[in-house]
Amino acid sequence: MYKRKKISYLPQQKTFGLNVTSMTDMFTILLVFLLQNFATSEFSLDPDPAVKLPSSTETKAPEKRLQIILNSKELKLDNQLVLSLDTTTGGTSLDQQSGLKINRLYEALVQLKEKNTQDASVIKGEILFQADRNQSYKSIQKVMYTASQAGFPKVKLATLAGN
Amino acid sequence: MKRRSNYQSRVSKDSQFELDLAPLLSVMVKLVPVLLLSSAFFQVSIIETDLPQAVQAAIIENQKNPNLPEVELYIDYQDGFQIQVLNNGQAEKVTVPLSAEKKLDFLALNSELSKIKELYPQVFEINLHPSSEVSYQDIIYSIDMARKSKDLKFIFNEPTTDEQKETTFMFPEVTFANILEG
Repeated sequence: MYKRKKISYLPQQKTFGLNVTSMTDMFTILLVFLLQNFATSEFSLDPDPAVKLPSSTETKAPEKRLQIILNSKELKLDNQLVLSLDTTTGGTSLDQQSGLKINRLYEALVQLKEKNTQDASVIKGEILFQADRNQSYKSIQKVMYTASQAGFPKVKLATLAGN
Repeated sequence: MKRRSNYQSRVSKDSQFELDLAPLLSVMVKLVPVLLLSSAFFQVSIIETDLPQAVQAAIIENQKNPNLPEVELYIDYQDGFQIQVLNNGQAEKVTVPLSAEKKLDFLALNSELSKIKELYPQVFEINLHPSSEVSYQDIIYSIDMARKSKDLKFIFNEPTTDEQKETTFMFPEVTFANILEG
């Protein structure tokens, strides 16, 4: 009985005007924020998900280059796996004489250099290097050495802008 | 006067109205996902040597002059930074020890390099010698500290015009000198 009475108190009018002013305000603020962060450069570099890039005060926008990616598990060349850095395969891929040259990376780079004879950055020997901030110089040195031996001596280091 | 009063009365009558925000809202609802997809929430940059023209000209000129002093920077977690300047066969050494927390002292490195730059304003190259255990992040910080001074400006002669120029760049030409050392 009590419940029936309560239902009868409900308003009769079923349509109502929604006040969207506050929602519009919220969207305007969101829009301004997103416009500020809008990527305007020609080439936007998507860092490898497994790589935590080091931070730097440098703010120069990256340009499209051949990319070498080094994270704690893999070594990639232009997003294609070159070498898995586990203990079973990592050691055997190194050149015995120098102890620095990574054979598989060297071969892949030489092949790419032979294929891309029209690309100006490849002719100049420029490469974009993404490496995890926690990598030691020992592993970075091997990649840089191999790149320079394969005809890519100009290594650009990818970093996160801002300290 | 009459016209004005008529206008005022018309305005006052229609001054209250409800703005239809629905179309504006629907545009925003479509725009927000588009912008969210194309937004860069972190900015990736690269370290390279695209420098002001005057500095670049000086670097090119320096490459023709083998008698310029050479600045070497050794990075080590045991001894900190060691800066060595080779000038006319003589070596000057400066050590930047580890901080009280036993970490590399980057600010002290920047100030020591500023002093060296004041002595040799025409030198723009630095050779890095990190030891094998130094992390990539610390190498990048060291490069940052070597490239630009925090607060000082240096005067150098621009080779093409022989004019005196001012720059905050110290040693922007960074070379990993021990790449070939196994």
